[in-house]
Amino acid sequence: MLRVKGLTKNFGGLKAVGSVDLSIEPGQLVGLIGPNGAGKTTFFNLLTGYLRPSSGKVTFEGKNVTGKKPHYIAGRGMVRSFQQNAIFADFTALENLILAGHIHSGLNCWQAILKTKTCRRREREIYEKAEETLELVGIGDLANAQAGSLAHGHKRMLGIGLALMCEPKLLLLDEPLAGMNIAEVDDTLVLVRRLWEDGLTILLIEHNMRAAMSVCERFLVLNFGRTIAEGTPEEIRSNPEVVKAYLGTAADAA
Amino acid sequence: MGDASILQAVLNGLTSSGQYILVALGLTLVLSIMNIVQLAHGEVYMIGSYVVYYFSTSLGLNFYLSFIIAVVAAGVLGIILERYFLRPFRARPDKAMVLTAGFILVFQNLVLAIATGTPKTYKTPYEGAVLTIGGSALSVERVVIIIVAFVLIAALFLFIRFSRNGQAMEAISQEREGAALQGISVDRLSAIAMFVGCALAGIAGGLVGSLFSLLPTMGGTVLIKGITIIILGGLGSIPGTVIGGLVIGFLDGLIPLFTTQYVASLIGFIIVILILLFRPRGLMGHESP
Amino acid sequence: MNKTKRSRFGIAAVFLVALVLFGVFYSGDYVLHVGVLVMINVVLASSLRLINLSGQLSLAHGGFVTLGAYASAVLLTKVGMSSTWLALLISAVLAAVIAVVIGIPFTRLKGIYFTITGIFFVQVIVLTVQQWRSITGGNGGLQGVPRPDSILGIEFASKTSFFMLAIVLMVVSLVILWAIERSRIGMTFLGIKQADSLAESIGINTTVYKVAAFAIGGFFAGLMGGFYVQYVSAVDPTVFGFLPTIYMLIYVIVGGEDSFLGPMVGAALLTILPEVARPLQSWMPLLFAAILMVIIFLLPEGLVGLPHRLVGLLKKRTKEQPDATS
Repeated sequence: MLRVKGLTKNFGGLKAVGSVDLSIEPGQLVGLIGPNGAGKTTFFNLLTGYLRPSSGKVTFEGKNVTGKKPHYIAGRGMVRSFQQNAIFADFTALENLILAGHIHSGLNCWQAILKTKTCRRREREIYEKAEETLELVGIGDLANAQAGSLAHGHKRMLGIGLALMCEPKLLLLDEPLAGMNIAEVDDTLVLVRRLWEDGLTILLIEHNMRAAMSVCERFLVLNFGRTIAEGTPEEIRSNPEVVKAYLGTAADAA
Repeated sequence: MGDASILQAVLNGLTSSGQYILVALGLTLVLSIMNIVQLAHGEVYMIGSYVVYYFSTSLGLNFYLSFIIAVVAAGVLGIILERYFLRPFRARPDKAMVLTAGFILVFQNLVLAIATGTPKTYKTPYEGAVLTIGGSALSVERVVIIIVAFVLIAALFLFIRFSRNGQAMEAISQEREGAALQGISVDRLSAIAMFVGCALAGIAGGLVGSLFSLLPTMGGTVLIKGITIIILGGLGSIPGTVIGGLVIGFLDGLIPLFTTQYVASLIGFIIVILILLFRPRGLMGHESP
Repeated sequence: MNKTKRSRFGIAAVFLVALVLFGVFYSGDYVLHVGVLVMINVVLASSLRLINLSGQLSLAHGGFVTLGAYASAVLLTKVGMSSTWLALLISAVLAAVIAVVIGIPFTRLKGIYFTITGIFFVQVIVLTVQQWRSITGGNGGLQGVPRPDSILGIEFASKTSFFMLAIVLMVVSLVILWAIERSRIGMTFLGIKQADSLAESIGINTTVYKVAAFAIGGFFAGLMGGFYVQYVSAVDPTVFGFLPTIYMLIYVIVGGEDSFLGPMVGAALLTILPEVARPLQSWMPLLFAAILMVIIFLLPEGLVGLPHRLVGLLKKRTKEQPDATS
């Protein structure tokens, strides 16, 4: 499904991501882990078009998407979430998801402006799907709350909801657990697991090793922008390179 | 071109450059600290000229004293604008910028009301004095502008480099949030940026005013030149601004030899747009994470 | 929800009928003239706001108006185009096309950098019409632009006829702007304004939307430029230069940029104000700046927020007095 070959990004003289390879098959749930500043988010930004790679190639479902615009990549089905609270703060939670739902509405601008019958039908469908998605991510009761006023954990869930509304084939989650309390972490892990069991392919960046170990079936470990290990949870746990990389930040990893 | 005319061209280029750099440095300081383009910066320059005119010609005060008054007035104006108008909108640069657009109306029309729209002129004590170097006559007025401008540029460099506030300004212009965390007072730095920036514009206005007739609308072109320069220089970089100013100043002198001012403006516009698009960090900058 | 919608529609309809009746029965040329200017400014401010809606503070608007005005003037006086209506349409379309051409590079820039390009754009347009003397008449501008051709038996000679034409143009423009705003497109603009890289991540081609907002705004600016020149029959390079652009922005902010009504209120009041306060004429720019500052500081939601504020204040007074223990 996703093939990454020799992906590299230089900032000035600094190599933020150096020649990373990765391949994800449909139905996998892959974890991308590594200490702070390992280049995980930069790697995500390269995959999803937010940064232009210095070299390397990204292929998604057989299509070369290297250096394409984020909206194009999202439209192809590779959809990401953000680490920061990325939501449309002035909209309600429901409106957030409705906006995201329009990507596959198939309506042209005239239908939208003139509010034709097809348009109204499609908008109805999107509305219903948005409500379902809110329920799915566990904030169904907050549909009409202003997104900016939501609690941190709810904002994060809304962010995942936004990505889900885009009908992703491959979902990229950037540290979804960051800043969440224990209950929220559990809920989120359950959600991720459930989405995966429903057939979604997921690439998960996580700083919290233990949480990532509990859901992912395969891992890619980055440090200083390079792949230092790849494999199953057991292989990763016993890999001396990984242990060494995490030693300095042992407290965070716990 | 003979040696004498080359020297003359260099002198003219340096005069324009010095004047533009003084104005553009203010824009740069304010941009890098406060993240806005102060649209009324040209008006501060204009006010500098008018204050010199008012004190030296209307009140008959000594030119040098009038000049100092003008510089202080411009600087204080900057502090007032920052403290009472721009500071409340730190989080909303768009609103702050609309306010600075409003300042244009205020300053132009206040000066128009007080001084009327008839062009004014004033003289420097050294008006008409000539310096002869290598057989060519150089106007002292221009030489003074060059010297003052480049001394001030050097002083500003030293300030940024060695003073505590200067180093803090450098830090904040590079990484806003980090700097705020380290306990640097953005309020004080903004005030300093506006004071220094406006004082520099006032100096430029006061010095250059003697070469032209003053009009309340004279700030417009200067603003456009200033913005062009800071874009060339990489939006917020002080060395970049100096280089950008030198480029624009010399082009100003050279362009009439090759083409019309209009074509030059058009080319300048296109270059500026291209830089914004492809090298948003200016001629010297590079991409960051 | 539906009720407020209907009552809003009702108020707009009543207002429109009143405007038409006023035009029919009132025959004072001066007042009708001011009315036409008000309506031009209402459309200019509303179209500028549409661009702001997509998160882009534009200072390019005057450039589009100038383009539209000169397009009509040149076509009708120099090129010899016979239909004024075609010229008017070309004014609008040309401005929109130029908006697309410059919008594609400009809208890549964010925040204040986008705003700066607008200043340069206006400057270039003004310089161009000043320099291109053979076509544009240089600094003197162009005079003797013909008035609109008669249509459906209506001759455009009296102020009343122009007042009516202005109503038609304004209503059509506002209806289109309103339809865009309440559609998914308007919602997308707002989304981009709030978080543009997030909008990209959910598959929105933000460039297309930003350029579209810029072009739609440009279209109506060009249209009003064309109409203006056919109304006053003359144009010069600076009628819609840098300062007039700032005025347009002031209309939007003073009225209130968050509501559709805001720019209309701002444009109307600030166009009428200089006329009713004639003795203050030379102080008008200062007064405008003062109003702008008062609004920005004290009434960020603009004049349209004033009634709501006052009601809130009154309620506070009457309600909170008894339990004002703290």
